[in-house]
Amino acid sequence: MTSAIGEPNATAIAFFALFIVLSLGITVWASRRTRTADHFYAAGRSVTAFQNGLALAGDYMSAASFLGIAGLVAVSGFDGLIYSIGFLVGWPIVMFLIAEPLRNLGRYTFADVVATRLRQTPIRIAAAIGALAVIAFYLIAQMVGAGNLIRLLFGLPYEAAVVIVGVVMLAYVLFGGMIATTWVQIVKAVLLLAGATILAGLVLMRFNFNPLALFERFRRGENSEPDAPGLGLGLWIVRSIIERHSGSVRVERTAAARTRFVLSLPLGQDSADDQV
Amino acid sequence: MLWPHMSNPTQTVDPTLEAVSAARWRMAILLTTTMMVVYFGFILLVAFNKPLLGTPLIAGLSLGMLLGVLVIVAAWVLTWIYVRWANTHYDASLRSLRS
Repeated sequence: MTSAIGEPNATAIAFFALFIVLSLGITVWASRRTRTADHFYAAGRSVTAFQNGLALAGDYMSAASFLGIAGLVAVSGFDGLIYSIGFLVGWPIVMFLIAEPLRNLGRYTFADVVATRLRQTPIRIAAAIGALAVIAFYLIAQMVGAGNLIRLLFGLPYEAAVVIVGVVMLAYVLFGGMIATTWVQIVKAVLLLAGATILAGLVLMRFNFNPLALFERFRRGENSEPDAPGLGLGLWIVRSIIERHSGSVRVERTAAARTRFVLSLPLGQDSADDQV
Repeated sequence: MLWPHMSNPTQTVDPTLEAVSAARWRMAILLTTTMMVVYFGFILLVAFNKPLLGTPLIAGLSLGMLLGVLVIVAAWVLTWIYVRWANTHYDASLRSLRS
């Protein structure tokens, strides 16, 4: 199966439509079960630890982690992976410091907990400013990521993509509350975990399931400069593009310190190779 | 006492409850500090000693990659320690306080 980025792809559009229908279905189902503030904010305390873990994992595997880390690795090589470590390390710290007071007091938000012992108004204003500042930066990046992804996959206009994603997100949070939010995230987490595991498995399969063999391919040579820019992938990318066009790349060592790369591309169906 | 240094003087607090709460804060701060030291130690090495992290250990594996994986493993291990401690010690002492 071939796919071209930027062209509408029937499978991708079908999956996207399916996920929107599923999200809205969960929202309708959840809104019928949401009757009290406890339902809206805390899903009526009915979510089990495992379900909540999956939902948090769904939050974690966002556009920032998927597109952001993939983009960083594309731009700066495997060094980009250290970004994902910072994401992960924040979670245990949140659990050590905040989870228990939140559970003990039976409150819904961090601001509720702090406001129980301190003056309500300034604490809530401070918490709102903090939350809005984080959301502004975080959400803008997420929406740009989602909009661009949908534009690339389906060829939808960027503005339309952002509006569709925004409306679906608002709908499930406002109407479905925490029950819908949790279940939408659980569905997303299971889909992403399954998809990423399959992809990782398929990539590793080409290296006999040995990750070391995968990384060894991108090792810098002994004499290369340690801080040289670039990925070390340039020639490899050139080769894959040229081979797709039935050409070939050859390396010739002419003299002791000279190396020549010969790129051959066929000009037409019958013509002989034209060397560049 | 919910947060440290925030006890309410008009309220008398059961000394056992105070001890349980203090133990939880010690645990939380110990684990948070460990996580911070591990993470920022790694990030500082990335920032200031790249050649060291680039040292190859075996073909395909550099010291930096190994340490990066170990930071992730450390996050799991610390989480496991906290959950185990909360389930066996903390929740048990809270239950005995309630009864």
